[in-house]
Order: sequence, then C-alpha cells, then structure tokens
Amino acid sequence: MRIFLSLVVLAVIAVGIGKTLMEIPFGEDTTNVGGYYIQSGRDDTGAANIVTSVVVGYRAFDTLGEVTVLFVAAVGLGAVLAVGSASGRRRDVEPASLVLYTGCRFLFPLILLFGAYIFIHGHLTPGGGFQGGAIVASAFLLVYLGCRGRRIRHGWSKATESLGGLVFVGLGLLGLTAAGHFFLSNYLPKGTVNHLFSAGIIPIIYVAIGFKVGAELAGVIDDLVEESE
Amino acid sequence: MIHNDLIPLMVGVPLAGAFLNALLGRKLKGVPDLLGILCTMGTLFLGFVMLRLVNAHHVLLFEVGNWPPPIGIAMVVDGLTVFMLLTVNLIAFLVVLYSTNYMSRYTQKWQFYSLFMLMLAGMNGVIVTGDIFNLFVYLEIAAVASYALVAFGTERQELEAAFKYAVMGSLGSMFVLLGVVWMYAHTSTLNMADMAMVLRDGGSGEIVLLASVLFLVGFGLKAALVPFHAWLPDAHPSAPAPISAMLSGVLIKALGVYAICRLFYSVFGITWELSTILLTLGTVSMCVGVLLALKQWDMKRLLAYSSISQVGYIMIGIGIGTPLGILAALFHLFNHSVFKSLLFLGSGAVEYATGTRDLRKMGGLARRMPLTAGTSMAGSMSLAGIPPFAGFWSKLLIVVAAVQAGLYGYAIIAIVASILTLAYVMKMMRYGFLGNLPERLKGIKDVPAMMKLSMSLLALICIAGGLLLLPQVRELFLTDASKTFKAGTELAFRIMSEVR
Repeated sequence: MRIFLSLVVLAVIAVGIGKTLMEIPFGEDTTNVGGYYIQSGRDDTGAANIVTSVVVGYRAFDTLGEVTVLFVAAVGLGAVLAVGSASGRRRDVEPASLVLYTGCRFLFPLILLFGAYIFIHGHLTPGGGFQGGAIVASAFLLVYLGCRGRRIRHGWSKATESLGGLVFVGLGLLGLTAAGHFFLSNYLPKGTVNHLFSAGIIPIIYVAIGFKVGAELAGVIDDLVEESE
Repeated sequence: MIHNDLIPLMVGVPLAGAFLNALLGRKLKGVPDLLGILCTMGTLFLGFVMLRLVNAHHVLLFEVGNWPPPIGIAMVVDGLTVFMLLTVNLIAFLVVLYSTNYMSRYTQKWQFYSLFMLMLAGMNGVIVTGDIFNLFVYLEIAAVASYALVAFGTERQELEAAFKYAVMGSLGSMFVLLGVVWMYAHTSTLNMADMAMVLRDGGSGEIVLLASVLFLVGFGLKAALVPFHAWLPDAHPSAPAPISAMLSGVLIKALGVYAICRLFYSVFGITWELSTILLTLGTVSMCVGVLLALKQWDMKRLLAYSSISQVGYIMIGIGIGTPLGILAALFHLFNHSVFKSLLFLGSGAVEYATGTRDLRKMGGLARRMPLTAGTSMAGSMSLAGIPPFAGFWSKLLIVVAAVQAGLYGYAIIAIVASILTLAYVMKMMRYGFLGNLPERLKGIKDVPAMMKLSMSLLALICIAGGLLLLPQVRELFLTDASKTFKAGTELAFRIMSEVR
C-alpha cells in the first residue's frame, strides 16, 4: 500500500514537472549572459580558454566558494576519522611484485608532470586547477595501491592545502588594497592572449588551486586508507 | 546607494582565518583561540560599520572583480542584510568566547575553529550575496561545515545524527540547486536583481511556480519547518554545545529563514498564496514543536524541539506581512538567536560540570552553579515570554500584528503555544536547577571564566533586549531591516538602474 501511494505521488510530481518543462523553449537562443561571455571573455580576461575566463574571471567568487567546500570536506573528514586510528601504527603488508612496484615508481613522476601541465595551462587549453589537481591526486592513489606501505607526510599535504587557499584569498584581498581595484579583480597585466604568461592573476590562482586540490584529495585518500587498515 | 569595499571582508576575513588556522594552529597552542576571537571580533566590528553606512545610504553594492552585474557576481547589503549580519556575528563572537574554555576537552582544537570559521564565512556569504548561484555555493559551505561539526565528538550517536543531517541537508541543497537551474533556464541570468526585473517584465510562468516550490522545500529543510524538521532534533543536541548554539541560534535562520525572505520578497515578489503557505507552515511548526518539546527529558533535545516551535513564530510574523508583523518577526528572530544560544550554552555548561544532559539525573544545580542557573533562568524567561524580558515583547508584537490583520485564529494559537512553552521551560528549570541536589553531584563546581562571561553577556542582552523597541534604536536596527520587505522587488529596480 505504501509503495503504491508513493508511486502515485511520484507520478503526480513527474507529470507536473514534465508539463512545466515543456514551457522552456527548445533550441532557441535565450542566453544573454552566456552570449556575452563567449563574445567578450577573451578580451576581458586575456584567457584563451573561455571556461577559465568564467570560472576564475567573471565568477571567481563562486570558485573560491567551491575550493572552500572541498577544504571543508577534507578537514571534516580528518576530524571525523582521526580519532579511531592511532597514527604511526604500521601494519606489515605483503609487498607488491617487483613489476608493479617499478611500474608505479616509473609512472608517478610522469603523472605529476601531466597534472602540473594541465593546471599551469588552465587559461590556454581545456582543463584547469581542479582537473590538474585531480590528476596529481591520482598519482598518489597509484602509489597507495601499488607500493603499499608508502605514505605521504601528513603535515606537508595539510600545509600545501592551507597555503593554496591562503594564496587565493590573499590575491583577492590584495586587489582591495591597490587603488582603483576590487576584490578578486584582475590587477596584473593581461599580456598577449595564448601566451603562457598572460591573463593576469588567473594562472596564479589556477596553480594555487591545482596544488590545493591535489594535496587535498591525496590527504583524503590517505585518511581513508588509514581508516580501512 | 553607494559602492562599498568592505563587504567582501565579511567573507574574506573568516575564510582567511580558517586557512591560517589550519596552517599555524596545528603546532602553536594558543593560535586557534586567538584567531577565532580576532576574526569574529573583526566581522562583528565590520557589521557595525556597515550598519552606520546602511543607515546613511540604505543600500550598499559591491561588484566582485569589478564586473558589473549580471555579468559578474554582486554583493548587496541593505537593512535586512545588515540586521542578519549583526545577529550572526554577535552570536558567533560570544560563542567563540565560550568555546575557548569548553573546547579544551576535545583534541584537535584547530579543526574545530577552522570548521567554525568556515561555517561563519558560509553564513556571511549567503547573507551578503546578490547572486542566486553564489548563494547556493555559500549555503553548501555552511552546511557541509555544520555536518562535520555535528559529528565532531565522533561517538556512535553523534555520527548517526550527523549522517542523517548530511543526507537530509544534501537533499535540501539539491532542491535549491534544481530551483536555481530552472530559474536560470527561464530567465538566463543568475543575478537576483536582474532575475527580478526579468520576472517583472516577462511575466511568470508555471516554471517559476515550480521553482518556488523547490526553493520553499529546500530552504524549508534548512529552516527545519515542519514537515521538513526530522533531522533537527537529532543533529542539534549531538553537536558540541557551542555548535548547538550556532546551529539553533543562527544557522537555521541564515540559511533557511533569511533565504526564504530574500527570494520570495525581493526576487519573486510576495503573493497572497505564498503568505498563506508561510503562515500555515509557521503555525504547524509552532504547534508540533511545542508539543514534542513537552515530553523530552534530554535537556538539549528539548531545546532543539523548542527551536522548531520558535522558528514557527518567526514564519507567522513574516506570513502576516504587515509592517508590524515583519518588525515583530525580525525582533523575534534576533531574540531567539540570543536566548536559544544562551540556553544551549547553559546546557553545555551543565554537561561540562555534571557529565549528563538527562533532566531526571539533575536537580538543585542552582546552589552549585549559581551563574549558569541565573543566566539560563534569564534565557528561559525570555523564551517563555515573561515580561520584561525581550522575548515577551516580540511575541506580544506578533500576536498584536495578527489581531490587527484580522487573523484572530492565528493569534489565539500563538498565545496557547506560548503558554505551553512556559510549561516546558518550567519543566527544565524545575528538574535541572531547582529541587534537591543528588548525592552524586555534591562535588561539582561552576564553569570556567570565559564560559561565564559569554553566558552573562547573552543574559544581559536577553534582559535589555526590549530596549531595541525604543523609537531611536528601532529606527537604526529594526525599521531599516523591515523596509526591505516593504520595498520588495523595488530593490531590484534600484540596483539595476544604478548599475546601468
């Protein structure tokens, strides 16, 4: 009976939503803000990648928020998981085979390099701080899976994480002190579009985000591995 | 209307504080306490500066990154914003004072302060933003930080409560996000002022109705209105006492009540149907909350149910919608923030000294902890609406506003609920602080100095809060805030014409 009732309620809601969504015109161009970004994004921010010009330029304040959400999640996870595990305890695990071990050690720096490339070129090519950071973290995940017993040092990753956040907030607040500028405004010279050193503070912010996200996700992996042992 | 550079500091200061804390607080012992006090003091001071500016100029505007809205994100501070900012940051400051002593029982103090300041940054962000997606982002920061803080004790019961809270809270956030998506599809803008203009010119279709429902459910979940309240009685008591005080005192109001007011008054424009829905939800919350609170024996759980009931009062005032009703609702919002934080801090002090929250295992604590008992008594009297405590005046105004608007039924229900409130308050006082002291508790001592200081200040505000209604003070603080409601979508027009 309860299932039947919930199905009926669901059906009513689905019909209502379906009917309403028919109202949205399909295929027509109704964007005005989006259109502006596509037309002027390159000239306004100096970033060749339009997604970056929106994420770290026009709506940088949202990005600051998103970086913070990730930070909150990492700190929160640390706070909840830290109690159960007595740190420093190291279990003897069976070492991985030589092939796997060597493979991981070989790939680790390459993946780091690739991740760094992605976030350093965030304003030029697809990708950016979040994507690059995730790739960096995947390198650490590989080490955790392949070379068991190896650990990143906790203090180091946490310090990187906070420094990344501080650089972002600090760069934003620095804009307030320079005359004629604003919070999170792009006060450095924009340079030539498509060059590595262009787009003002955008690449600096993206590098900071890359480090931060990489260290954060690696820290989360470390916390979870510690808990599961 | 003027442009103002101080607004982003409301978010930037606690955010920078949280990051710095994570960097330095791990090693250096005194840093977390110091940073916490400095940051909250700073934001409180900024709040007062902005109050002065708003009194002179009415609306402050800030364009992040110097992009004019709707292209970039705008921050808007008007009377209601500054009212909420002061309430939130005042409570945050007093709660941090209390935490300096209380949290020394826990390890990892820096994590607590980091999360606390991130929650504060999230709430300030929600309050000052003029952009609907930005509102969602900062709502998530405050919400995710509060999930972690509820679980901070990491006992079984706390983890369970936090999990329930996280699931329900994420559901609420998803509703809000879906609403934002559909509003963006309909109006193709995210700036609230611009959105209000588009809705006014282009008319509102069914999709706006659908988005309104989503926002009502999403923010209703955050505000713990009945029937969306199920997470609150678990989550609020499980958190450490300072966090319970923040959650019940300001979080449900900043994320729930404020967001509902902002969207439905300043963006969608209030209608008769919406007011009726708010009135109904408010009345149901008020009655259900008070009835469930009556039978609780856990001190903090009783207070948590009481929060549901008191938010109901606020919603009734807002639903009435007359200038007096709005004024009364805002005044009650402020009062509830103060006395509910005070009571949660008091219950934390009792737990600190006795190790229990069960009213049946207490008694006679007034003799051993005179200051805690005295301040809790002041908070309780304000909660129950005994003259001359602040809570009396706000409840009286709500009832008067209901009568003036011809809503006699609501007025009578509010009075009955108020009498029942007195009943559960008496229960808490009788079993907790009066009566005979059990043998087991003979040796307890009152709490450390900072906790006492924080509770005394809150109690003072409870006693003197009625003075906010004096004409000169009211003009500065409450009247400006209630003008936001009167202006409605007119505010959007003023902002957009300023920008263009």
